[in-house]
Amino acid sequence: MTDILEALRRSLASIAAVIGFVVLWQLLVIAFNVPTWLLPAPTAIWAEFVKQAYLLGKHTVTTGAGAVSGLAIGTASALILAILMVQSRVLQRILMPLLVIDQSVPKLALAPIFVIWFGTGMMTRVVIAVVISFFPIIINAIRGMTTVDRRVNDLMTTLSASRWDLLTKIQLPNAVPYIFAGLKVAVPLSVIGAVVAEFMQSDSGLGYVVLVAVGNVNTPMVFVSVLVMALLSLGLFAVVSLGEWLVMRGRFNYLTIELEN
Amino acid sequence: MARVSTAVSLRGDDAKVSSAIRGVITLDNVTKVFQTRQGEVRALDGIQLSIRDKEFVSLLGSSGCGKSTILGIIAGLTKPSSGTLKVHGKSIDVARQSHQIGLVFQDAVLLPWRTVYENVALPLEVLKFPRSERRERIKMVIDLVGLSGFEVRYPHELSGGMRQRLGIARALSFNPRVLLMDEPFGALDAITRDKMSIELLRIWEQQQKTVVFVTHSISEAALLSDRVVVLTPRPGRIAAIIDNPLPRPRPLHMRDSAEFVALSLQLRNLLETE
Repeated sequence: MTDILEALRRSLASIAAVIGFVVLWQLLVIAFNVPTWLLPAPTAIWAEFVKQAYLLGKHTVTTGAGAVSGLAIGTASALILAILMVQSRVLQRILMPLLVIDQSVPKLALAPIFVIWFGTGMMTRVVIAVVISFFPIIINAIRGMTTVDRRVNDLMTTLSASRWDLLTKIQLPNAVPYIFAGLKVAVPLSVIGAVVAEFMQSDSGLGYVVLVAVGNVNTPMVFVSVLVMALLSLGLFAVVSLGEWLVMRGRFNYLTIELEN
Repeated sequence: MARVSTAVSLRGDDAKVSSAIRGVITLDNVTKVFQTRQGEVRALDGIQLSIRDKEFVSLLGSSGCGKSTILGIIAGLTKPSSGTLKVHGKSIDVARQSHQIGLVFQDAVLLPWRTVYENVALPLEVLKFPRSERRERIKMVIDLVGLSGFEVRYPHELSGGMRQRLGIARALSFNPRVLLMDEPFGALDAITRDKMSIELLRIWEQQQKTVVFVTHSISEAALLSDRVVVLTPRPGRIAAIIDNPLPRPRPLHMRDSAEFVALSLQLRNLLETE
């Protein structure tokens, strides 16, 4: 309880700043009589949000489903490949440059191609989310598995430990904080990926809502949709953080020391 | 406690190997050359050393004298460039199969995601000890090093001395015949260090292990060991092997005795004459 109060106290300044920003926005819109289609006042955005809550909820589920399945598939495949690469030096030498090249490709620019390949349904959404969330996770996982203290490896060697033991008892646990760090980067990316897929051409999802709203010059709805995307990202981020907390609980030094060094 | 250990200790193979052979660890004319960008570096040169069963031997020298390299060679982690190593009369690969070597590191090198209990369990899991024996052995070594009551704590919750105790418990968990210790108390403050020295002597006397102890502290080497191997650097050579005349048991205040001071002086002189 005191922890929560302390956290509140510490974030008081940023909460105040956000409130101040919103109030200022409202005042400026009123003062200069800015038309709603150009920049809606926060109250107008809120009104739209309340009016369209059900519709937004429905499309959020669609976008969220795409992002989450993409994230799940991306994470699983990244972990599997990371494990294989850590097992084999040769594989690592072959694939590492490919990964770097892969990262240099602006994957969102591939979205049109994915639409050609996978159509305008859920599939494209998932594929883009997979492709975009894959890299931060595999890089972090490999780093986590390979930054094991040399002496721990020595210890396992004197015990004639099998590769399996090394993987399950040392490398994977060592990589856990790194994998969570990668997940936290991947979460917002997966939402972006899903939304971009919807921008391309689709009949549902928050990206679709934005497109329709822009077509109708319903600027408040555009703002509301973007706000909901942010909330979706934030919600998924919170879930990952909760998972991290559950796994790391009591081992917080492990988390902070290992990552800050 | 010692009785418990013998009851659960001997795992078939290592009982037969032992006592007949005098030198349980023998290094015969071992050299080690490292390739670096600046060319070859001769880390060890003509190391001739025979360590007896249940003996406490210190490798004493300044940094860069190759003492840790010797330890690595005995552990089978580093291959000598020439010369041979025998552990219980067998090659290191065979010795490793019978799990006779326990390692203790300077800053313990614990797994931060495992509790005290789980850290001790690691070697037993790897060596596939049956569950019930595992539990028995873990309890025994945790008691032995004085960490009872801390089983569910994580390493970061322990003091430096306790972490080192845990490192020792882990090394002893599977009852190896040889304990290789690489400056195990090097990172501890002087008071804790003293306390741990006494603890180590107690554990060694109870457990009857062969100990190879790497240190750069003259007084540590003099207080703990049966023999002190004095090493000089560039290339790492044995300057002398000194039999420690001090009687046991050795309480801390023995360091004030004339014999102790004389031994320390002798060791210091050997270290300084390169």
